[in-house]
Amino acid sequence: MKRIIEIKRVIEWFFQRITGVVLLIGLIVHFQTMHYSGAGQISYEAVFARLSNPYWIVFNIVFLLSVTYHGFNGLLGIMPEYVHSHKMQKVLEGVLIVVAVTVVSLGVYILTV
Amino acid sequence: MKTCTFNIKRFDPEKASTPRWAKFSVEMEQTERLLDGLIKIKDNMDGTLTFRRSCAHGICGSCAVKINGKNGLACQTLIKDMPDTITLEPLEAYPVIKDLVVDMSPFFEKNDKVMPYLVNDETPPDRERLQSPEDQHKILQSITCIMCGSCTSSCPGYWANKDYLGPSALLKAYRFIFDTRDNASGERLEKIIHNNGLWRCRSIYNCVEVCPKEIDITGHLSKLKRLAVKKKLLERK
Ligand code: HEM
Ligand code: HEM
Ligand code: FES
Repeated sequence: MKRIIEIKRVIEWFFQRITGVVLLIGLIVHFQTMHYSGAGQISYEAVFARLSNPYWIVFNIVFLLSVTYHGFNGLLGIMPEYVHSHKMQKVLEGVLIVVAVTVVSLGVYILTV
Repeated sequence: MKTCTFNIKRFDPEKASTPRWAKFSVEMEQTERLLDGLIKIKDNMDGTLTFRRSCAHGICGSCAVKINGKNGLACQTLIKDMPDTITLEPLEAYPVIKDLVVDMSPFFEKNDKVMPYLVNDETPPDRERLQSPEDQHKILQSITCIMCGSCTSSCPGYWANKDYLGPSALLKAYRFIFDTRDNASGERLEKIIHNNGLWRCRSIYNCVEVCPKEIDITGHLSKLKRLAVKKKLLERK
């Protein structure tokens, strides 16, 4: 059990870094397309066209998974620094995981269905 | 000569329940150190002022205090580098015993948890266990730590969680884990990768900012993090 927790911590830190790098690239691509390529890029037609393109769908899924993992894992990491009650930590951990899973499921559903 | 105002946060648990501020005007030479000012106050103005010092040459680590909001060694801080008003407080986050003297036992307890000694059961060679200059270089900085406690006391991660090992103990772990003469690196790594260990370091760099020996502590801890990923994740059989 101790060993599993140790490896879990190692993975968490490692993936925080990996997703950080993915976000750096992903956010540049995302902002370039959404923000700096003209308002036409977020019209119904443009979004529809992208969401019919498998490359964009894969990009969006990877981007979504990265941002959700990074954001929520980051919150899980710093939460115990502000919340000291062990019971409350467990409760918030559960809440954060449920919210993260919901966000990912919704996003993947929207992107693929 | 210049007149310095020493603004010192004093606390005497036998006389009061809260700290108070005391002001002393002291004539100082530019070439003197902060510690000289404290000694002048204690010798000539108020013998009850309490502070730690031992070597007075920046090597024992006992005189660490918060100087104008930033941890440092009183014996290594020159008056010429200071403004006219000098505010001194005890190190943050350790229990205050009296005036500038804090209880360092939480600090040393953390240190003891990382096996802060060389482990090597092989029979030693005739004279000494030799190391290549390159291997020595890996631990050169971490060896210069004098354990003054400035780093751990400056760490917001430690303020938030007193069970966190803190930068000092983790640097000590680095010092032996990366020592090629040591044989217990794996075991020692296990002792720092738990919930209150390495991962509590958020790369805030306060420790590097205050270290009187200018050790890149955060950089060393990053190397430990990468080593943990390598040993526990990538090289796992
Ligand atoms: C360019 C994009 C980003 C990069 C390169 C990046 C990089 C990083 C890195 C390297 C860490 C680990 C810090 C450490 O352990 O020392 C981190 C932590 C964190 N990130 Fe990001 N990040 C990015 C975007 C985001 C976004 C969009 C969010 C919010 C959704 C976020 C939320 C967090 C949180 C909450 C932490 C934990 C803070 C901590 O451990 O102290 N980041 N980020
Ligand atoms: C200028 C601001 C932004 C605009 C206009 C914008 C717009 C959009 C649009 C139109 C989509 C639909 C997908 C597509 O058309 O290809 C999308 C998806 C997405 N955006 Fe943004 N976005 C912005 C900022 C951000 C930021 C700051 C983040 C993350 C930190 C982010 C994360 C995502 C993710 C993860 C998706 C895929 C989600 C899914 O559909 O499940 N966006 N964005
Ligand atoms: S008195 Fe020894 S380090 Fe300052």
